Amino acid sequence: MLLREVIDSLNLQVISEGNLEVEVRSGIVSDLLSYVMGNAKEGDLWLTIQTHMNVVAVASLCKVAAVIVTSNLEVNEEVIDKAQEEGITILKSSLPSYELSGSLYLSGIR
Amino acid sequence: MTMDSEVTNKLGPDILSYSVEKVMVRNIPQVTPYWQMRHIKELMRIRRLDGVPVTDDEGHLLGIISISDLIICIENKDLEAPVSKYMTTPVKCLILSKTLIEALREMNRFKYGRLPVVDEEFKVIGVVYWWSLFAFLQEALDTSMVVKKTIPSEGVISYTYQVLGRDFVHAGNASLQMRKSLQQLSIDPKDLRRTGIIAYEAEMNIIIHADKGFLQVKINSEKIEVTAEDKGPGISDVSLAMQEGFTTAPDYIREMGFGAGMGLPNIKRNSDIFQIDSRVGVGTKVYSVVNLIRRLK
Ligand SMILES: Nc1ncnc2c1ncn2[C@@H]1O[C@H](COP(=O)(O)OP(=O)(O)OP(=O)(O)O)[C@@H](O)[C@H]1O
Ligand SMILES: [Mg+2]
Repeated sequence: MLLREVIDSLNLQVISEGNLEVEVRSGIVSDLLSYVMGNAKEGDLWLTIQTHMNVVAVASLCKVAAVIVTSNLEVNEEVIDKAQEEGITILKSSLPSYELSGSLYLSGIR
Repeated sequence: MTMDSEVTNKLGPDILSYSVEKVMVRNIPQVTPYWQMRHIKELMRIRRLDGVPVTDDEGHLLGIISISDLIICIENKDLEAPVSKYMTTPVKCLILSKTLIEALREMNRFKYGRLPVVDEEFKVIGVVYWWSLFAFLQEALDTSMVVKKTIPSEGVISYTYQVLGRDFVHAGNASLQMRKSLQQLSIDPKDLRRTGIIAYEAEMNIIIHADKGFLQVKINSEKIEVTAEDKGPGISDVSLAMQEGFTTAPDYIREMGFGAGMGLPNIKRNSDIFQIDSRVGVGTKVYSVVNLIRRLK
């Protein structure tokens, strides 16, 4: 599924737009950065409640398709600016990580 | 051996737009006009302040008493006099919403060594001293990556980046900068990714666990070597620290998502050669080699 399609079908809000035409195959849910660093695959969706600057660094290193900040948490301007600079897509969802990953799984991202 | 070295030192572009809050000294005793000058003398001596704001009982700014006011008072042998007799009023001050650059301009224009900071109700909440501003700028300069690039003749390129402990504002910058430098070379993306992870985890370990250090990368046609060396507490049991899940990161750092205890194992997994040397009370050195999939020309 293309990232753009995921965004549309799950009502995600784009707060930093990178490449939305990438293929998304799987995902990872974690708030521990070096766990993500060790386990994320290129093209993953990363669901997290962390919103600080290092999220951008980890996302860019792991080349995830997008970071999805769950539970409607706020992401501050500096982080968004940095993400844009690095071409990282950050999405926002009002659902908690658990529920959102359920929906993603059902939509075929496994 | 020819050596071409270049040091770039720059302040982050937005640093001067920080609020004066970043540099103000907060815990200044509340001095009121009926204090005796004698007490001011003692306060300035003990706290080594060269000026303090004077407020009414509710903390509203009235004036300032500086070392030059005190000198006049001492010349007059008038130390029993109340502060109201010698304080300077009206006084220039800063509203909390002002930025560092505005503070700098004001201080420079009027040659003031200190400016009280007030809230909307004109209550004093702190003082920006020239030295507190200075300390902040100096630290910012130190922190903003000092990048050194050396190209010795045998085809080795090397970059060095400074890393400061507890500096979460710039955290990740050194390894990001390193990755950008490496991207200019035709390195395989897989190698780039491994090197990036090694550098990032090593940088974060310095930031989280140590006082200061540097990150260095050396590239030749066959391999990339990453060295992270710090001055810090060191690690008392390295084999324990190498275990997945082991961490000594305090709670406030874990809340930010660090401290999974996976950094060192991540580094090791991504390295072809991995060495760690640590001495308690001295520091830690992590050395990694990534053998390149594709030889560089
Ligand atoms: N540079 C260092 N100086 C002092 N102690 C260190 C240093 N690097 C690692 N350590 C010690 O080794 C432990 C394990 O490090 P490791 O990088 O694996 O995990 P972590 O930094 O605690 O968490 P994570 O990397 O997952 O965010 C640390 O908690 C710390 O006690
Ligand atoms: Mg670590």
